[in-house]
Amino acid sequence: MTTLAKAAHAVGAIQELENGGAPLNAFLAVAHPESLAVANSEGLLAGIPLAVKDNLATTGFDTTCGSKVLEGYRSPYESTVVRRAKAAGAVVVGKTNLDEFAMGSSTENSAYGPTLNPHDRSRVPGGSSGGSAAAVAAGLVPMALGSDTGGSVRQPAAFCGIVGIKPTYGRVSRYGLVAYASSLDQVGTLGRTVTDAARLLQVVSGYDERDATSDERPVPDLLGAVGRGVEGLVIGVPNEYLPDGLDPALRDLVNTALRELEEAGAKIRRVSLPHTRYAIPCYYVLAPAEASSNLSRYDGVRYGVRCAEADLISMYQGTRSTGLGIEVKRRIMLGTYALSAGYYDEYYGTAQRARRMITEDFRSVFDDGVDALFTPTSPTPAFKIGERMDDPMEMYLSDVFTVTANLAGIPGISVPIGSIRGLPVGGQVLAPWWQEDQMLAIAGELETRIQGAEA
Amino acid sequence: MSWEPVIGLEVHVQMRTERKLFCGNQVVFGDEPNSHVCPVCLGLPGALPTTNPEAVKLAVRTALALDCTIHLTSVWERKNYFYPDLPKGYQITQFEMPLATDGVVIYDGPEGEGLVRIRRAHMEEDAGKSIHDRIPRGTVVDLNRAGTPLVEIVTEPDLCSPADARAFLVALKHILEYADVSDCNMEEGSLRVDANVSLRSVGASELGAKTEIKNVNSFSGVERALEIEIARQAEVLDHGGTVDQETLLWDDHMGQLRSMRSKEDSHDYRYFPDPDLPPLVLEPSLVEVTRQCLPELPRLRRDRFIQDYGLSSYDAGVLTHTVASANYFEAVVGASAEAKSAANWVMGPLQALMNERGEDLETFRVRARALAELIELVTDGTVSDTAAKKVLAIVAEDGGSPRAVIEEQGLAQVRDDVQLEQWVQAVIEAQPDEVSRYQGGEKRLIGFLVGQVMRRSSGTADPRRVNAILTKELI
Amino acid sequence: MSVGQKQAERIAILARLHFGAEEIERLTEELNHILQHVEALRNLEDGPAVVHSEEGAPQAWQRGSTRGSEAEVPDTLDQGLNKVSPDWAEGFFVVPPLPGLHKDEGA
Repeated sequence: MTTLAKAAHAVGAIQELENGGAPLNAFLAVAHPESLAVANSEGLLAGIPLAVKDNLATTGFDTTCGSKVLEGYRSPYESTVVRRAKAAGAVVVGKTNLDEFAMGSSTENSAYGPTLNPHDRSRVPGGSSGGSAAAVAAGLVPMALGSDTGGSVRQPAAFCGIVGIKPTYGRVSRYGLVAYASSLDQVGTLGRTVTDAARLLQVVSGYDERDATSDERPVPDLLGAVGRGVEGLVIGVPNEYLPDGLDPALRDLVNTALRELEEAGAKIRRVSLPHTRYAIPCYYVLAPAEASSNLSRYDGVRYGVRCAEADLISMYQGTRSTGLGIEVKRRIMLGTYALSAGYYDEYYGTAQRARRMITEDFRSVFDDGVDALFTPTSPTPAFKIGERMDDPMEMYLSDVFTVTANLAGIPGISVPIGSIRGLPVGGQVLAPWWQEDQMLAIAGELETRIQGAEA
Repeated sequence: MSWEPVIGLEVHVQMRTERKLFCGNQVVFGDEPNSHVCPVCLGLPGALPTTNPEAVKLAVRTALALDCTIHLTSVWERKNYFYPDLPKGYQITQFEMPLATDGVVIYDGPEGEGLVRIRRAHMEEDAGKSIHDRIPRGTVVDLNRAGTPLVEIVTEPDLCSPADARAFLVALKHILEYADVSDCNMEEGSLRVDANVSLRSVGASELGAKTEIKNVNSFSGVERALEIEIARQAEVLDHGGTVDQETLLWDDHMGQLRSMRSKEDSHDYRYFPDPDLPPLVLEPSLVEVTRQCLPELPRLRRDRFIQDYGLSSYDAGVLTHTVASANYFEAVVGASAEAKSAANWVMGPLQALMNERGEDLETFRVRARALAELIELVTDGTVSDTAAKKVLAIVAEDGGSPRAVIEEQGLAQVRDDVQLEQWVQAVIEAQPDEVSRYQGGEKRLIGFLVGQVMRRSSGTADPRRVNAILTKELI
Repeated sequence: MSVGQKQAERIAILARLHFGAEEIERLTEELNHILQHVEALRNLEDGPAVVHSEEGAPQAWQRGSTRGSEAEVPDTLDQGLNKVSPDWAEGFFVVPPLPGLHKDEGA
C-alpha cells in the first residue's frame, strides 16, 4: 500500500463502523478522505493513520474536549505533539471522544455521548482517553494519542486490551494539550502493541521551548528497548496494590505475569509504598484545584460557545453553567473550595505534603535497588455503562492504582495480561523517572510471553 | 480629636521590555487592537507560558535600585478572578515568595528628607484593556497589553500626608528613570498607583480600618484623592462612625472618589503556585552583575555634583533631574569646561533654546563638546556672551563647530576702540532723547545705550569696553 | 469539615457557576461525600509540602530557566480572531455590559 492508502483505508473503516449499525462513538471528528496528506514519507510514522484525543489542539479539526462550551471551536494553532507526529509522517484521521476536559474514567462524561467498549458494547472503554483506546482496540488505527492525568491512558488501555503509556512528567510537551491539572497532565500514547505505542512516543517526546515544564534530557532509544529483555532486573511488587479484597482472578493474572517475568530472568521482590492510601484523596484535592483555575478561561469572552445574556455576570454564569457538564462543574466546585480562603492549608497544603510522601515512597524503593514496579492497572475490568455514574467517589476509586504515577511524575505503561470473564485486563509497569526504556523492555517481554501463552 | 493619616502605596511599573512576560509578542502601545496577540496571551486552550529573561533582568535591576533584598528563588502564582480583559481567568503573579523584599526609598518630602520602606517588589503580567464606551451594546476588549511585564512595588505604610506621598512618587519615578527599567509614561499607564489610607488618633500606634484608592494615573491625582479621602474619613470618625474597609475609584475628571460596588467574592483570589511555570531561580552572578552595572541613582549623583563640582544643591538638583541632562553636563565638564559656567550654560541658554525649539537633549544638535568649546571661547574673550548665544542658535540649527561659526559669521568680539567709538557715536546720534535723559540723571539708561551699541555690532562688541567708552563720551 | 449549602452557593459565585435549588442541594451532598474521603489526609504525618513536583523534576525546573530563542517568537494564529470569537466588532472582542460597574473599573 502507498503511504496515503493506509490512512484512506482507516478513514473508510472508521466511517463504516461509526455510521453502521453498531457504532462505538469513538470519534468526534473524522478526516475528509480528500484532505489526507503525508508530510514525510520517510519518517518513523510515514503514512500511519493516527487518532488524536480531542483535548489536543489541532488546526485541521475542531478541538472540543468533549465539551459543549467548545462546540465548533477550531484552534488557530497546533499542539506540539501533533506537529511532531505529522512531521514524522503520521496522518491524523480523526479526533477521539473523551470525558469532558479529560475528567472521568469511563468516557461517559462526554457532551457528545459515551464511547462503547469494542469488547463488549454494554461496557465503558475506560477513560478519559476512551475514544482513542476504543479506536485502537477496534483495529481502526494502529496507534493514538491520549492524555493521562490520573490514569487516563493506562486505564482505558487496560479496559480495551491494548497498550497505553504515560511517560515521565516533562518527557512530552504539553503545549497544545488542553489543561485539566497541569502538574499531573502528560500526553500519552496508545497502541495495539508495545512497539506501536513506543514508536509514537519516540516521535512526540523531547524538549519543547514552548512548555516550561518539558525537559531537555535526550530521549533514549525507546523502540530499541522493547526487545531488550529483563534479565537481571529487579521488579518490585507493592503490597498496597494487591489488597485483600482484590478480585482473585485478577490476582492470578498478576501472579502469572510475574512468573513469566521471573522465567525471563527478572527477580521479583515484594515492596511497600506505605502512603498509597493517601493517593486518591490527594489527587482529588490537587487535580480539581488546578482544574478550577485552568477552566476559568471558558468564560464565553474570546472563543467557544457563549450564552447570550444582557449583562456580563449573567453571561459568565450562563455560559459556564450550560456549557460545562456536571462532572466538570463538580470538580470546579471542589477545587474552588479547596483553594478558597481559610481552607487552602487544610486541603491544598496537606495534599501537597501527601504528594511529596507518595513520591518519596517511590524514590526509596527505586533507590533500594528496585528497577521497576509491577501492579494491576485497575482493580476491575471494564464496568457497565451507567454503573458508576451515580456515585462519583466509586468512579474515582477506579484510578487507585494509576494516580500515584501522576502524583510522583514517574512513567507507567499498561499492557494486556489476560482476561477475566471475557474482558481484557491490564498489568502496569512503573519505572523510575526518565527510564521509559526500562519500562518498555519489561512491557515488551510480558507482551511476547503472554501473547505467546494465549496463542 | 485630631487624626493623622497612615498611607501606603502600591505602584505598578511597566518594564520597558521588547516582548511580553510569558510569550514572544511585542509590547506596543496604541497599535491596532488585538494585533499583538498569540495563543499564550489570548489564553487559548492548551497554550502555556514561558518566562521572558529580559523582563527578569529588568525586574532585578528595579529591585536593586530600590535597595531590596533579592530572593534567588521566587515562585509564580495564579491570582484567580474573572474579568473580560483577563484572558486566562487568572493573573500570573508572585505572592508567597516574591522576587524581592525589604527595600528603602529616600525622598525629599515637604518636611525634609523622608524614608519609605519597600515591603516587596514582585513581577506579574498586565491585563488587557476593557473599553466601556466605544460601542453601545457592551464593553470591548483589546488584549495587546495582556501579558506586559510589570513590577509591583508595595511600600510599608510609612507616608504621613498626601504631599509626602506625592514627593515619594516623584523620587520613585526618578529612580526608575535612572535605572532605565521603564519609560514611566503616565499617560500610557506605564506607572499606575493604588493608595491605601487609614487614620489614627495622633500618637496612637494601632492602624485604623483602611480604604484602597485605585485607578489613579497622575501624582497630583494621588495627592488630591488622598486629601479628599482623609477628609472623608476624619468626618466619619469625628461623628463617632467607623470607616468601612472598601475600595474606592478615583475619577480624575470629576475629582471624586466613588465606592466600588462591593462584591462578596472580591477578595478571594485563591492564589496557588502556577503549575505551568518552574520557580524563578536566579544565578547569584546575574544579581551581582546587575548590581555592579546599576547606574548611579539620582540622590547619589546629586550629592556628588555638589561635592565634586561645587554646585549649589539647587543647581545639582536641576542638572540631575534627568539622566540625560546630568550626563550632558558631565560631558561638557569632561570636555574641559569649567563646572559652574557649564552648569549655568546648560540650565540657562541651552535649556531656553531647547524649549524655544521644542527639542530635548536627544534631538538637540549642540553636542556637549561643542558647548564646551563655546564656553571656552567666551571665557577667553573671543566672543561675547551675546554673540555666544547667537552661535549656539546657529549650531542648533545647522550644526558645525562654534569656532567655525564665529569665523564664518564674523562674530568674534571686537575690542578695537576705533571701531567701538564709531558704533558709540552712531548710537549717540540715533538716540538723542535717551542721551539727554541720561545726561539729565537717568543713569540706568546706560544699559539701553550699551544694548544699542551691541546691536549695531551684531553682538560682537565687548560690552565692558562699550560701557567705558559710552560713559566717557556722555559726561 | 463539611460544606453547608450557603457555602456551596458562595463557591458557585466565585467559580461563576449557577445552580438550581435542587442541583445545589445534591451537589453539596456529593461534595461532602468526596470530602469525607479527603479526610483521610488528616492522618498524614507532618512533613514538608511540595511547591512544585520537583522530584526527578525536569532539569529546566531545577535551573529555573527562562525561555530560549524559539519561544521568543510568538506562535502564529492560522485564522482570524473574528472566526473564533463569539462577538467581534472593529477588531475588538465584545462582551455584554458590566452591571453596575463604572467604565474605569479594572483598569
